[in-house]
Amino acid sequence: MHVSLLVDIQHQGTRVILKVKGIMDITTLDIFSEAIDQLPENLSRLTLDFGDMEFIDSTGIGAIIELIYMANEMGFSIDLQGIDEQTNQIFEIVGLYQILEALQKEEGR
Amino acid sequence: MKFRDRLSLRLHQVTDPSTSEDLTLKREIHLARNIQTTLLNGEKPKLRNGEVTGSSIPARLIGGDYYDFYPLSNGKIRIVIGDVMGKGIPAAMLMILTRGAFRSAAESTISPGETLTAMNNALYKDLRSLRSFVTVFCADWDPCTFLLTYANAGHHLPLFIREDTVKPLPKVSGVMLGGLPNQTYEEMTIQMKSNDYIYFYTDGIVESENIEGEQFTLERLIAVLQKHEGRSVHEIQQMTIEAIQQFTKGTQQKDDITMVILKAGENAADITGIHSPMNQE
Repeated sequence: MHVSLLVDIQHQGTRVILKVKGIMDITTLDIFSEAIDQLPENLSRLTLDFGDMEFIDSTGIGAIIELIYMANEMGFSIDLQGIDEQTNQIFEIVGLYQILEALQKEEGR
Repeated sequence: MKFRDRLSLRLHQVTDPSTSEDLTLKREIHLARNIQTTLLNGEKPKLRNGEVTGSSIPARLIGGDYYDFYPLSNGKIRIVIGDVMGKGIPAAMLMILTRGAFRSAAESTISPGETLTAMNNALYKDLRSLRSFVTVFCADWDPCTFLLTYANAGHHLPLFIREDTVKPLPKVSGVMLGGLPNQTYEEMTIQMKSNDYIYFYTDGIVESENIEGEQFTLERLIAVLQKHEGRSVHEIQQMTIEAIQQFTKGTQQKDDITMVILKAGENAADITGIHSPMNQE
């Protein structure tokens, strides 16, 4: 069976690197959610690695924004890496970086 | 709360409906589609010194894209295009909410940036509690001066078309509606000339897919728009739809397709071109 999203989770103490590979849209939201629900309770920092992400739509962006809000509530920080030019433009246009910055500043991280 | 539960509003689906429930649901979806189609495809405003039109094709029976026109008392027209996160019925419900917020804000605000601020103020709490957001681009066009003033809440920049040059409007940034509270939105003004066009669109156009999963892309859209040859906004709309249909060849689309096209007419007031977007990179 073709899986359109794979999520690789690497634990480094209280830090986690979550690498997404494939497509982040409404059809793969369940897979992404399952991965997020495996994060440890004592998480201090989450790195989202988009290096192998092929496509993201508004539902995928919504999931990342929800994760940023969840981090704000639960007290862990998020950083983003491996973002290609196209994804960077999308994140910039919708204001995702501004949301991340505003919420992390609120928490003093 | 688990992340999956946080997204449950988005993921909840009707499962295994009985036959009668299924029929009722289908009937109600068709009624909802009629409401949405009627609201979206109402009478288009007749412009002095210009033309404007809009069109929306939902990927499913109903969709989450939105466009609207609001004639202002000073003779300008306020144009809005938006895209609700998600698809289908949930997105359509939020689209109606967005329409109400725009109509109310357009009435009481003096500029596109203020309209977006008022819309975000009105919608932020609801959108946050529903774990959703809306991208919206809003512009005022003055048919006397041909000035276009615009502001952006997380939406793709529309394309500016002058002769055979097609490029995005100069950038303005702003967080999508529902992203953060208490937002202000910067504005930009450009000078249009006779026979310039502005092509507002949602990402469903450039992300339309053929059977191989290949996307239509912005490059193909620009190539289509370069061949406008002074056509009317209705002809350009039809040209774009046909190009997408030829590319997708009947493949079921994932996202709604929406466009609004504005064309400056022949009888402009004296204009200078100092704000021309063609002079900016």
